[in-house]
Amino acid sequence: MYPGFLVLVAFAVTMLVWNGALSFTSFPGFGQAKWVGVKNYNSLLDNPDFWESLLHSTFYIIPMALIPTALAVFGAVAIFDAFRGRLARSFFPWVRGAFYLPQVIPIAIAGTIWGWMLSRDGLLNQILRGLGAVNPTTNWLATPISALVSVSLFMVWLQFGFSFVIFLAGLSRLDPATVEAASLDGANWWQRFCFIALPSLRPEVIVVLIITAIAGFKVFAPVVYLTMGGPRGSTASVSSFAIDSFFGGGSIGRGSAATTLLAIAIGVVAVVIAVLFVRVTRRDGGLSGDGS
Amino acid sequence: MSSRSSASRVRRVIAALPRSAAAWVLGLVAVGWSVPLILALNASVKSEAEFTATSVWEPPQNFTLANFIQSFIYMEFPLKVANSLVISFGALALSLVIAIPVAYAITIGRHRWRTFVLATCVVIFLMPQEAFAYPIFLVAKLVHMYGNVIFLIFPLGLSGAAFATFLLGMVMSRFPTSVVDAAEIDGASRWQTLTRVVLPMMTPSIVVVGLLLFIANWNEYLLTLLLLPDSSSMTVPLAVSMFNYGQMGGPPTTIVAAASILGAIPSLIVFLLFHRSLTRGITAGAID
Repeated sequence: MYPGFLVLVAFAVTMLVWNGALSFTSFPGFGQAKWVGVKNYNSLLDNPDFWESLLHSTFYIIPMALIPTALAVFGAVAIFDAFRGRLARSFFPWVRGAFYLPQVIPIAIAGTIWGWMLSRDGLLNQILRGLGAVNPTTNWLATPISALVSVSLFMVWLQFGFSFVIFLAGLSRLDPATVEAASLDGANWWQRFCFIALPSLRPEVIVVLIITAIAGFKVFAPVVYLTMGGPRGSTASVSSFAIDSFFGGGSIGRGSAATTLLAIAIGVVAVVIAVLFVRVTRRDGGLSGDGS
Repeated sequence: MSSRSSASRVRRVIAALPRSAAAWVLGLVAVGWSVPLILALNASVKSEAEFTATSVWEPPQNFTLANFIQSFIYMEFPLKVANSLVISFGALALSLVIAIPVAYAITIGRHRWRTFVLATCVVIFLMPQEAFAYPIFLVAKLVHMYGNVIFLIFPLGLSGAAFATFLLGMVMSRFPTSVVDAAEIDGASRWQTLTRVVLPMMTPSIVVVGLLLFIANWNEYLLTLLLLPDSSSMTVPLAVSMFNYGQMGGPPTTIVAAASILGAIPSLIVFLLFHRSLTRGITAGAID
């Protein structure tokens, strides 16, 4: 225990140092070494770009969390149901791998490829041309609405695999006998889904939704690597806005204010979750090594 | 070959195919999901002239590796791989060194603060990295290690440690106490119990966690972007994204595609190894 304890202390101290540095950043005007009090926060709240990025960040929860999770639940159940037979079994890992691949590829590279696909002579336009549309030359990332839609599609592509894999693993807990009994009793696919598969996946769904929702709110990389915040900030998230302020706009204080607000928002949610989590684990008998 | 046996063989094959339409649809969707990568791969082996002349779907008539060679040299690929490896392994080692004893202490060791520690770890890894980014940048400048690859090991290792502690804690909490008790009865100290009994049994889980950490570190975007300005110290993903903005109007698509594929290859290799361990890790957890 004691080695663990010592390392824990070292870790906690390091964590406190980071946290100290973090509260450091809420010293507005730090970069310019001028203490300006809450001026940065005020100007931030007055800044329409900030509010726009906040709107986007909230919106991004949809393509990062809600859509991929919903699709993944249906997909996992469907695939679990359907893949029987030896030939199908051997396809199964490939299908799972194909969907998880976007999570494995470095996001910078995925963004580069998607950026190319959505450009003027990229894949999307080629498909449209093939379907007979009059020569489309739009760069899909150049107009605000289409950029937002493109980034959202990119996010769904990215995030589907994560939930999918987790739900597949969760479904393997399901007793096939129960499912067989239900279908013998005359339950159709939809009923089996709602009353058997879905409830048994509830813990996974909750965990996945929480993680992906938070990830969606603090999203940074997909936005930056696809659109750099989009045509005139129309796809920026709070994180990309903040980092832009740090290293692009030269306004350190503004960036720190934005990240601190983000951190506080997420911190509150995270603490709530942690408290709930503690309660649940306590109720389930604690964390002591009691696996036997 | 009589017609009867070939007919029954055909029947067997058909019977083995997935029956429902859903499976076929999902299979097609899965292929579609990989389209971006397939197309990049396709583009990367065409010469530039052929690329502009043909559609993105057509396979190349003149298969060429010139794009790969060019981007390999231009990106100083081996150097970037070395950078990425140093950072990824270093951070992962740091994370495990911190996480394993802590996870052990809070689960099997039944430390007093266990719920606090676990809750803190959850909060840490849910936090937005952007909030830590600027202070880390300042620390780097302060210790004159800005732009140094080694420096990145620390922040990545620490945030990885939070994640790893959480995961390993989850796994360790299912560890059978009978084994631990037996070791204690035999007179083993806590440290010995950890190293001689628990660790060997936990190796698969540790490998899975290590792989997850490795992939996360390799693909890391924010801190590498902020802390590695010189191209000589960049990581692979960073180098590829910089590549795009390199020249006037960006280099030809074929070269960018080749660079992207090159950059993705290490991740893909790890993924192929990871695939089996992932299954093993998940089913091992499910069996409990």
